[in-house]
Amino acid sequence: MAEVVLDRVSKSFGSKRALRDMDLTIRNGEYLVVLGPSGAGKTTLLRTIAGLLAPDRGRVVIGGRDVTRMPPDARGVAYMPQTYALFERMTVWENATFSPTVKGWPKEQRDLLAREMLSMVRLIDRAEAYPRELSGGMQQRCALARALAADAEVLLLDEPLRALDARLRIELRNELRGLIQHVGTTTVHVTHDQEEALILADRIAVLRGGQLLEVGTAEDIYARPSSAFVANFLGEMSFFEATAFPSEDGTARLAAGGTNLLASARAGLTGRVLAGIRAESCGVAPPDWRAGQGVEGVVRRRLFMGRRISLEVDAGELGPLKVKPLTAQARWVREGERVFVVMPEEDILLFPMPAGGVSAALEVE
Amino acid sequence: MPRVEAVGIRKRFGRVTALEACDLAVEDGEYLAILGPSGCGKTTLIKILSGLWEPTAGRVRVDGRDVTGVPVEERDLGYVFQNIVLFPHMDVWRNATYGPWVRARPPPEIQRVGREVLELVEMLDERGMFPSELSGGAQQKAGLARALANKAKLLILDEPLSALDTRVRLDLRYALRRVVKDLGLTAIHVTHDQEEAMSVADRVVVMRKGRIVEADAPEALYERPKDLFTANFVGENNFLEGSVARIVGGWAFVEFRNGHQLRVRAERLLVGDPVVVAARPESLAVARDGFGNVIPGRIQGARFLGSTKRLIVRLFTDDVVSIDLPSSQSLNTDRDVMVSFNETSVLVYPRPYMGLQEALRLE
Repeated sequence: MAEVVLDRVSKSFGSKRALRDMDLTIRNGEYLVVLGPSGAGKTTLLRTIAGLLAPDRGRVVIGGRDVTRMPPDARGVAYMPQTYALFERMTVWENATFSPTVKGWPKEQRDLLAREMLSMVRLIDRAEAYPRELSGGMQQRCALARALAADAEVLLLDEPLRALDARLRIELRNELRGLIQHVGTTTVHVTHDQEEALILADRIAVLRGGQLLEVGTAEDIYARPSSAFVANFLGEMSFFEATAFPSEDGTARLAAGGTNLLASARAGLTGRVLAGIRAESCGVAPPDWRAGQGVEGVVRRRLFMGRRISLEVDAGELGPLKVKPLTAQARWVREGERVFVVMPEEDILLFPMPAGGVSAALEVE
Repeated sequence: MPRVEAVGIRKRFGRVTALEACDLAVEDGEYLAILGPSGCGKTTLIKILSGLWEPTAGRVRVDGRDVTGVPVEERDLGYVFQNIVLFPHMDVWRNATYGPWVRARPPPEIQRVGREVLELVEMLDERGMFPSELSGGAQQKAGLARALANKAKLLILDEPLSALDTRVRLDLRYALRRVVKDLGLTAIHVTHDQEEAMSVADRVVVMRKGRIVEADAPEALYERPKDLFTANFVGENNFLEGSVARIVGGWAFVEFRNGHQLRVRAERLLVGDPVVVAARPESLAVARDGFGNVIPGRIQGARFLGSTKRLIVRLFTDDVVSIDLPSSQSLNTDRDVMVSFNETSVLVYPRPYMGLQEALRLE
């Protein structure tokens, strides 16, 4: 258990600036999820903390010690890379017990720990297998068990669940959270999956182009994202351009594509703004039903997804809206039908109009 | 496309049985998804359906004609698309028109077909790009265009979206379904992702350990799964083990640990039956106090999940359940609540003889 501090860390590869003046403190015992598109610098960040990359500038401090010039094995971290880096000539069991063995743990205690970790990742039945005999997903689980059994002060996980079957991923992320919370290890977990981030994180850090855009609890970032990019990355959003007028009660009045809407979150902006609403915040009703404020449109596509139905509604001048109501509320909706999209005023987010255009502001790569 | 049917398929590799007693028919114009965890035999099954592999036992029929042992090309299936790999040295246009070009079709026809298929997959603007310049999603679309230009009638798609980023996947799911439906093609789409299977397919076949567990339309599979394994694999679910204490007028009262009871529909249940009650996180509700179909519990934790919030509640039956509520509903942890079960959405299964955990196991 230890606090990790990145102090103005920069790293370039040739002309590509992978990390730019990164200031980030990961608190003692915190589970920090780093979220961002490919190429945002997420893996570079982990490798810098692990000591596999030396920063061009800045310091890395773990548990109060400046480790910037220390080799990886002196830092007390366990790093699980995307490539797993399993020991090919060792069995699953030997991989999982490697680190505690090196540290000279008593056999009994070591075995107990390895058994618990291999059970959690559902590999205890394959303890005698070699990595090459395992599927990609199993190798990933083996690497995760090895990292968890390393008893490190800081755990660095790079997309640790990516190769797993969708269903198993859900099971393991629930258990991973419980386990690490119990042990209290400081953890940095990199992913591009926003649902995984919401479920696991104490705090989320959003990266883009080597820069830290925002760090905060899931609730803060979700409710009050600092930019349209962050909002869009943390959940499916629809954006539309609008003109905002202030009103006395603290809400903003919006004129957008021939429709008038109220927006109560971040109502301080006026003039041309970029407005956005999350697909899950929108409701859907029959056109004559008019429940609250919103717009009418035609359903262009409908995908059943289980607990939710994903709709794309053509809302005329407002553009296409993504709407993801719970199945129980939208079972009746069919493609080609007119519907009323409910857009609650507290869920409409306003952003300053991006100077470089909307699509550049949202671009993920 | 003709009707393709597999009857009593068994496949062994040495001593390992990969498939056992599989019966499956694919109708003309159907979009069928085959869903299951890794190693369940789903890829083996489509290889047998498409004629790439022979079954150890059982028959494959095309329009009623037995084609087991008949080479692929003589099965009258038309062209079968199998996750085409693009030629890296050809641009999108040449990749897409490769089939008609090889068959030496007249240039105007090649032009027409090329435009048609690239418009269908919305890739006409990218026709001059090379595969290495395309995102994973665009590569899949270009591959699909090539299959369509080849006049494929049956698309066999083995995990076509699994390598793509979450955000691209949703769009491509829709593109796949739209193309298949617009052209009246038949598709068999293998995936481990239950959400993907439900959103693309007319019908989903669930497989586990070499056997077909059940097959049904997506909404039925989610809302009324016939098998416990499906209830767990498709979406999330809470399971409570109990036994039927009494039956009164069409309702069964199931008793759990510590004497708590729930009322469920009594179809096919008898007093004393050991059962498992399944309730999805979004179908449960909580209240400070309450009566009716409720079990008391204590909130152990809450996670913010965006527009919903997930509560973890330890019921007084000692079962731990997940409950999804609107984020706006605020509740403190470490307090007692009543968890209410909606008797029309909970499902009841006979308790499996091998034990609940074993019945739900993914591999």
